[in-house]
Formats: sequence, C-alpha cells, structure tokens
Amino acid sequence: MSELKDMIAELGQIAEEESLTWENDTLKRTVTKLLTLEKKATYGIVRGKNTLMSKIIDSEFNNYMDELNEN
Amino acid sequence: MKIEKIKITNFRQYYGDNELSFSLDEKRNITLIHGENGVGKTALLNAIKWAFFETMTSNFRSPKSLVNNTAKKNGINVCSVEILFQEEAIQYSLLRRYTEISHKSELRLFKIDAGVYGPAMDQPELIINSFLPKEMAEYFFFQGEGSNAVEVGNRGGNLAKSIRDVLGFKVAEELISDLEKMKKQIRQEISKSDTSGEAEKIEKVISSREIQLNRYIESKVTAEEIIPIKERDLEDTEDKLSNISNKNLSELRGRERALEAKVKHCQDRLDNILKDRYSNIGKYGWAIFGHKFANRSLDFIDEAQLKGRLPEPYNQTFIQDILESKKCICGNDLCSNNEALQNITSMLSKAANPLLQARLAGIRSQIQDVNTLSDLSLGIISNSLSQSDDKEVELQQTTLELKEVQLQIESIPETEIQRLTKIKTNLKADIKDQEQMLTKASVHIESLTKQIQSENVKLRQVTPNTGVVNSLNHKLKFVSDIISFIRSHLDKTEKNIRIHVLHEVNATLEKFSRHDFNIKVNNADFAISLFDKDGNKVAQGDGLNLLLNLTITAALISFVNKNRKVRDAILSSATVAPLVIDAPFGVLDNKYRNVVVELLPQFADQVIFLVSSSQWTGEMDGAARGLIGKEYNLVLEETAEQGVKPPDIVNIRGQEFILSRYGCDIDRTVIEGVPL
Repeated sequence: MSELKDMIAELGQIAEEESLTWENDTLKRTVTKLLTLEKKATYGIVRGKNTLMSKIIDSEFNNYMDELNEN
Repeated sequence: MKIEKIKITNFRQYYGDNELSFSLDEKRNITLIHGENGVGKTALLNAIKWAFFETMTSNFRSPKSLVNNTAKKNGINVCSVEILFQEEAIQYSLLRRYTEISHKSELRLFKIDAGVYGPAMDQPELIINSFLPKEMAEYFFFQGEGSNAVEVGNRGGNLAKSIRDVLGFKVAEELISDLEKMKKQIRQEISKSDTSGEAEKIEKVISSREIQLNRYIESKVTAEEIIPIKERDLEDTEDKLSNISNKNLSELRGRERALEAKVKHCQDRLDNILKDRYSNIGKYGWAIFGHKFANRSLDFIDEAQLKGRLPEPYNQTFIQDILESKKCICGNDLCSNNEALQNITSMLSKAANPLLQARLAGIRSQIQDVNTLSDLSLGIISNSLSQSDDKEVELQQTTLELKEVQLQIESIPETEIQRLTKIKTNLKADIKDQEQMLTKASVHIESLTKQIQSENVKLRQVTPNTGVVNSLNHKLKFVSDIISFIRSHLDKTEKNIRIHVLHEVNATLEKFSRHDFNIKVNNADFAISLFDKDGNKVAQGDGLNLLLNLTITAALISFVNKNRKVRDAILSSATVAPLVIDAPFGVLDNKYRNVVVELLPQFADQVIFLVSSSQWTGEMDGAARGLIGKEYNLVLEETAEQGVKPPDIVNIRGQEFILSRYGCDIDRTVIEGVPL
C-alpha cells in the first residue's frame, strides 16, 4: 500500500510540475485552446469550428517554429 | 456542476410550487433531506434526474404518470421541474415541462447573467450532455436501495466508457479526429505545389492508408476492450458451470455410476447364488423332500410290510435242505405225513427268502443314505437361500438409492447446463475471433505506419523546396505533434486513474471492511473484483457492492477534482456533478453507513442525502453534523384523519419534527426547512 501511496504522490508531483510549464508550452497551450473550442463546438455553443481551429493553429504556429528553431 | 435550487411544480407528490435550495458551502457541503417512505424522496431524486435527462431510476413507479393527482382533479395536466445550477462559474436555469395529455416533455435552458435570464439556448440536451454526460449521471444521481446502485460497478465496458466521458475524453477524441482531417487538408495543399501530379497521387495514398490505419486502430482498441470482458464472462460462465457440475451434477453422476455398478454386481452375484441354489435343489432337493418319506419307508419295512416274516430265524434254503435230508435237526425222521414233516413243511412258507433279504438290505442302506444326505443338503440349500435373500435385499436397497440419485439428476435443469455450455462455446469463439482481429490489426498498424512514413518522405521529395511548402510541412508536423500529445496524455490519464481508483478503494476497504480483501481493477473496462488473502474471488453482497460503487464514484470525483486544481487541459472538461443519493444506507449496515457519511463529502463538492428516519442514526448524525449546510423535512399532508395511525416523527439534534399531518385541506408533500 505504501508503494501505491508513493506512486500517487509521484504522479501528483509530476502533474504539479507539468502545470507550471503548461502556460509556457506552445503545444500544451494550443491543446487547451483547441479543447475549449472543441467542447463548445461539440455541444453547439459555437459555430464555424474548422475556421476557428485553423486560426488557433496558425496563431500558435509561429511560436512553435520559434521553439523548434531555438532547440 | 453545483445545483443551487430546485422548483418542483405539480410533480408527483408535490402539489403546486415547492422550492428547495441546496447547500453551496464548500465545508458544509451536505444537504440532508428527511422523509418517510412514500412521501417523496425518490420523487425528488427523479425530479432532478428527469429534468436533466428525461430518465428515471428503475424503481420509480408509473413513470408516465407525473402530474400530481390533486392538480389533475383541479384540471391541471402539466407538471414541471426547474433547476438553477452553476457550471464553471456560469449560472444556468433548466426547465422541463411535461404535459400528461400528450405525454410530451419540453426542455428549455437559459444562461443567467447577473440575475438576468438570456434567451432559451439551442439544443439544450446537447449542452446538458456537455456538462454532465447522461451515462455518467448514473454515478451522481442514484438510488441506494434500488437496483442501479449495486449494478454500477458491474457495468462492464460502459464503466470504462463512462470514465472516459467523465474525464472529458470524448471532447479530446473528437479533437483528434478533427486534427486528422486538418492534416489531410495540409497535405492536399502541399501536393498542389507539385505540378507533375506525383504529390497528389502520394497524398491520396497517404489519405487512404490513414483511413485504413484508423480503422485498424479502432479494431485494435475494440478488441483490447472486448477480450478481457469476454474472458471475464467466460470465467464467470465456467464458474457457474463448474458449480453446477462439481457440486451437484458431477457428484451425482459419480454416485449414479457407482450405484449402477453396485446394482450390476449385486444382480450378477444374485444370479450366481440363484443358479447355485437351483443346482443344489436339483442335486439335493430330492434328499430333503425324500427325508420324511424315507423315514416312513424304513418304518414300513421294519414294522408293517415285513412284520411276521422278518426277521424269521431261518431261511428258505435251510428248510429245503432239512426236507431233502428227511431228518430234522432234532434228529427225528421226517416221514410222510408225520407231524414233524408237516411242521417243517409249514415253516417253508414263512422261511426267509435270501433275494428279498438282499433287496431289503439295499433299501435300508439307500434310506440311510437319504437321511444322511438330507441333513447335509438342508444346510447347503438353507445357506444359498439365505445368501440370495440377503443379496435380494441389497439389490433392492441399491436400486432404490440409484432411483433417488437419478431423480435428483433429473431435477437439475439440464437446459441451464446446455445454455451455459452454449454461452461458453460462443464466448470462446468470440475471444478467438477478437484475438485474431487484434493480431491482424497490430500487424496492419505496424505495416501501414511504415508505409505512411515512407509516403511522407516521398511527398517531401517530390514537392518543391519552397518556403510555403516547408512551412506547410512544419505545420503538418505541428498538428501531428498535437495529436501525439493528446493521445499520449489520454493513455497516461487512463493509467493514472486506474492506480487512483485502486488506491482509494483499497484504502477504504482496508480501513473499513471487516474482511481482508484485495481489489483488482480490470484494465480494459475497470470492472472491480474482490479477492481474499488467498487470492480466491469473493462474492460481493449488495452492501459491499454498494460500498464499492460509492467508493469508486468518490475516487473518480476526487481524481477529477485533484486534476482540476493542477489545470490539466485534457481534464478541464471533466465532469463533477452533485452526488444525489436516495436511501444511500439501505443495504449498508451501520459500520458501512458511517463510512459513507464520512467519505462522500470529502470527495464530492456537493452531496444531497435523502434519508428516512430509520436510516439516519444518532451516530451518523454525529459524524455528519458539522458538514450539513442545509436540512429539510419532507412532510406528508393528508386530508384523512389520523385515527389510530402513529405519528411520523424525526429527531434532529434532540428536537422532534413531525413528518406527517392529518386532516389537511390537500393531499400533498411539502418541503420544510430545518433551522441549523
């Protein structure tokens, strides 16, 4: 049982660490935006999903390229 | 999601408008509602469930007859439930109305901004489902005493699907599908830059391969989900079958075989004994039956037939010799007609005949033999008679025993065995099919992935190395990276929740269960099985099952809550709804009841317990009192007089509250707040 508790704690720590980088990571930020859009679109709250999705991809694409170039 | 308020109008026991506000306090998150049986606890739970999803719990009687009877008498044929709730800090009002004449219901949903209702929203069912998927509602709005609560943990594949839904996987999976389409569009754009038409051909190949790939991925996922379910079903079926076979049929069949052998052995032995008996009767019977006759014969020979003739002291030859010598043994001459000659001659008629003597001696000897043999035969034949009698009794008893066993075998439903055997055969065939499908899909996935990679390389080679094309290729990679990220995140989340559920449920069982159980969660469908310390599967009673299901629900909710706090993008759309439980303690004993009271408010944001006075003990009240934010009584008002009926009273913190009133103007249930 203690192994499980350690595992849970470790997973929690990983999640915490991930959350710190979430906003600063282009990929994760894009996913957040896309999921929010997808959720609204799935349940009919917004229309024109594909256009909005392309806009999100395009707006984050330059950041993605910058990160690629930096690496 | 948090429910702020409910307004029930002419719905079942509730006549007119009835309002109830739920606790929104984070620390005092329990809303406790007391009500005796038949007063409207289940109706209140179903009012919430019906308003959201137009469904009822399985134990809700006459689900088509929703309008209050008094209202109907007054010419009102419409009932409604209005729920004010919050979802992600936005306030909504949901109104469902039902017209009994047309049996139709209408749902309207409004967004409320600073107390002002917006216009009715389009497709309210879709929006409600986005807040709380219908299938997940089973976990949040349920009947503790009814059937659905104890079935929740055993819903097979639906549970895995529901967990994905509650964690927001549905939206993420939809997004992956959209991004795949976007990839195709980008590739089409890239191919347009190649005037030779080669790129277009390659793009078509890639698209076609991707369609195939997705199909095989879907087949693989399905097979991976189905196989463990089928395997578990097979295991259950084999258990059932072996229970019938081992405990009853096999044992009885074994006994039947043994008894049949015993009957046969008895029969053979009896046949042999009878054969010997008949042989002995044939051999010795005459001696037994001749014994009396022989004795009489001897008497006859000795006393009757030969009396006066035997035993004469002289025989015929001796007399004839005397007559021929004409001289008596006394010395007197035997002259003609003298007295001595006459005496000797008269003796001749009585003299013994040697032949007759020999014959008599023979008869005497034979009769003596008969008498001797008769005693011996009597012993032999009596013995074989006794043996055959014993064997016949044994045969009769064994035959009766065999008949009884055969009757027991006949009483076992062969159809059930046949049915289970058929299910077992089908399940084996299904598993084999799915395993073949899995292998086939895995091979194709590997092959298609390589082909797509290779075609992508070709596509880059045939397209001009311009800035636009390079940019499109990078965009393609960006979209692919997003897809990979979401997929890997979903996989990781599923693994995490499995560990979390396992940990929470094990911890609960370890803490509260009086048995030394261990839990196993099926990887594919999250089905829960309990095992004892020796690794044997434990049959789950209703109480334990309900505790398990409540614990699983609590574990899921706590997982979602925990991950919300760390801003997990994938789980940002996960659902947390209030836990509304009617009679949550019905099948639980006191120890488990206290567990539930302590456990659920820790995990869920909002808990609504609907309890009868018999279910809510002082001990539970003590455990939950500090967590109760709102408290209500459902009071029955009846037009009838009380008569001899005892009053329904609930004791809350030492104060008595009446739960039924008589001699009222209207038959109805009213909701009355309990001051905290």
